[in-house]
Amino acid sequence: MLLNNILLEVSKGTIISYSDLAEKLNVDVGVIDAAIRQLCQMKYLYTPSGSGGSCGESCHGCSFSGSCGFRDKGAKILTITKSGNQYLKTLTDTINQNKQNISFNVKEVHPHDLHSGC
Amino acid sequence: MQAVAQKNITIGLMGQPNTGKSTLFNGLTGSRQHVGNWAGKTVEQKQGEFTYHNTTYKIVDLPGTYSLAANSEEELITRNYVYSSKSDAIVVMIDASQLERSMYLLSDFIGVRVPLVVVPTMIDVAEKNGKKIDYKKLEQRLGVPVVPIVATQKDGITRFLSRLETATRDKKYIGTDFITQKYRENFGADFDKVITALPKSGIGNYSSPWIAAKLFEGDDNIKTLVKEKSDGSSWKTVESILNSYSDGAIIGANCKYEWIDHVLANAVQVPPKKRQKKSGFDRIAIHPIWGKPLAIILVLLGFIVSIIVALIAKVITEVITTLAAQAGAALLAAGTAPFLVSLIVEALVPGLLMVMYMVAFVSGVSFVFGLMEDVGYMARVAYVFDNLMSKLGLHGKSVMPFLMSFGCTIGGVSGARVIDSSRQRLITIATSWAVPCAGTWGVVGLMSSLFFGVNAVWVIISLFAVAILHMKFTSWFFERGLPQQEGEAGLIMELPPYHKPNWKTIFTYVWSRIKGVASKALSVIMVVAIAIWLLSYTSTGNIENSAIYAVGKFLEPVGSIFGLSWQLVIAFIVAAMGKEAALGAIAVLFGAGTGVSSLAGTLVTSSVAINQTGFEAALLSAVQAPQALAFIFAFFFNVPCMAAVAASASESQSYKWTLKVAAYYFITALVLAGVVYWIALLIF
Repeated sequence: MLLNNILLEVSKGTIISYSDLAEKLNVDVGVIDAAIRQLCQMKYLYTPSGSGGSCGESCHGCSFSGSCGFRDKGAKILTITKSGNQYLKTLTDTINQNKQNISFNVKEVHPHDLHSGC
Repeated sequence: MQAVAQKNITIGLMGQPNTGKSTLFNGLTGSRQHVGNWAGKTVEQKQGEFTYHNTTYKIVDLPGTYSLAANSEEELITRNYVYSSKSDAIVVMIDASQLERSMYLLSDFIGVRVPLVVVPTMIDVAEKNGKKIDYKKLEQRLGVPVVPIVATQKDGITRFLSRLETATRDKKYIGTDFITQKYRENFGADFDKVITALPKSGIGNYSSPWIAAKLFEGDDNIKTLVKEKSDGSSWKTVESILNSYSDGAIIGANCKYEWIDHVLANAVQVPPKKRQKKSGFDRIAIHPIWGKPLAIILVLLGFIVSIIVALIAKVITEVITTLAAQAGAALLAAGTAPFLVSLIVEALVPGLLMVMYMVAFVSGVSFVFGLMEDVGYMARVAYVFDNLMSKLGLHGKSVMPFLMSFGCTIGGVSGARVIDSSRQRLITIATSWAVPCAGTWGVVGLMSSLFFGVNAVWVIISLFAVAILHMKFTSWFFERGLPQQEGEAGLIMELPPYHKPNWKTIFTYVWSRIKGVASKALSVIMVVAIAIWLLSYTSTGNIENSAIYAVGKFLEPVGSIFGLSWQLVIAFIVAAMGKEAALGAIAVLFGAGTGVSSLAGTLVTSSVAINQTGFEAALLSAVQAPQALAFIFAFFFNVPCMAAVAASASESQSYKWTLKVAAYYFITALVLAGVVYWIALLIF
């Protein structure tokens, strides 16, 4: 699930380039760009206004506003919104639930069944 | 002669921006086109005509859109056109060089009952990039004609027209089975329940599964449409199901990406991804192996540069100290009260000098870090260390304050300013106190070698090992107490290009840092210096006549739990003033240091005359090995110095938080001392 994977990567709070992320998720860089725009549109991700071109709220109060190394081209700071975090929590709960179900199912197999002649 | 029947066919031309729509449109219609605006909209509308095999084709150039989500005026126009049954077929252009991205528009078309022709363009660009696309396979999987063309080439147009003619006759739609299955997997039985509540034949050109998917995605436009076209009870059923889905949009979008993967699987071959070769300095700066050592070297060089200013301040400090001592002697000779002279010479003057030294150091650090940030190198350091720092729950940029802290914690704390996230900044500050600064080694080196000889190396190793665990624990501890920001910020970025430094900006930054630090430093350092002076002043110079001696003796029973005698307890407390001062303070406490009437005077190390041989003998006779080890640990992990405390208060803008950090370090230092002491008792 591409959008889920992107959210999970952003939630790690690490620095990663678009191309590294695309390689990690085995998609084109263009898809990453499109998917992130979609997540922002759906309000799961939030890009402080102007990041990548000028400084916004994430640089508020920084004496470097407007002149730091991130002013040109590149840096996009993505923050997961409240909705995004809630969604991630649901995802994580589901994954953990599925893991429990798998281990539960393994325990349910009776030894006798393994040896029944077919 | 029989008249040839003329047919009129209407075609909608759709695609994402920059897929060559206009090129194809112009190629087909030539001068037979008309430009206007969509009714009631500001968006341009282009219509044209062409004839092929006795059929007149009217072609409408729809606005470039990324999807049929109706998030913009253009998307709404396109959607309404598709809904309105005006066209006999829709031609969807997709960029073959960015196939995955382009296919999203197509995915939004699944379930729309308008015959489709898919036209991959930019096939020459795709081929140049090494992409091999099996268009026949794509056609099989999509279930509609796929006609790859280069929009400027005539033979492609001819093939396109032939397939278009067939498509308008055969009326094929994109297959819905896979994506419907995905919707069912993700929305469960609710998906079919919604379909059942909708009109069986759909609405307009929209099939019920398409409408259901849009409803789950929260499409307001479609909700309004369904509400209009359904009876009340059906709408209520739909509404009650949809109310339990707040994340339908992302689930739906994920299904579409899965459909794209399914369609393109084994139909597209791309050349193996080569790591993009970095150019110039970046070849080393972000090299997976060499990037880290380079960053460490540059940061340490930066530290050396930053202390040049501090060293100049240090020289001035020494001169002023000497002058102050001479002035003090003169005042005493003139009959000034000794306690007043001591207050001025051993508390006020050293306190002010310490502020001056601190401000000088901070200005150097700010300049170096400011320069690195401005030229773009800071981003590279953050990039190469991010993985490692994240294991401590920190940002890649945190490595720089840590490296600076090896020289001086003030540098580390001030350096944390480069971290954008306030939460990460605070955690970095709190954690950097655990990094041993240069001033630590005077006492640790002396005590370790004096009490443990060649085994001192094991003492140092264990200190570092515990320091790493301490930092991890500290990071976790302080992260808990900090308010959660709206979300943890992940930084997805392309590294910014290097550029020439803007000196005006850098010096403005340095000046603002100096102003911020100086005021906080003055208040904190002066208060502590005066407090220590008050507690430790004696007119005779004998520490046993001071209040701090009484405090030390009072605390000795408690101190002994942690392996600390009264002298070591006081030394531990006073070391929080400044680690360089600790050596002079210990000398005074063990009767081997003279020249000061208070422990505040030890702030200026040159003011204490230490009898080295007597000092070592006094230590060896008064302190046991386990106590020495306990003190080493207590000293190592104590509050770094009051200048670091002042810098932290300035950086965090919170005295309360800073005091909390100081209390944490004070307590953990004692706890570690206690643990080490009792273990050492078993060994020695």
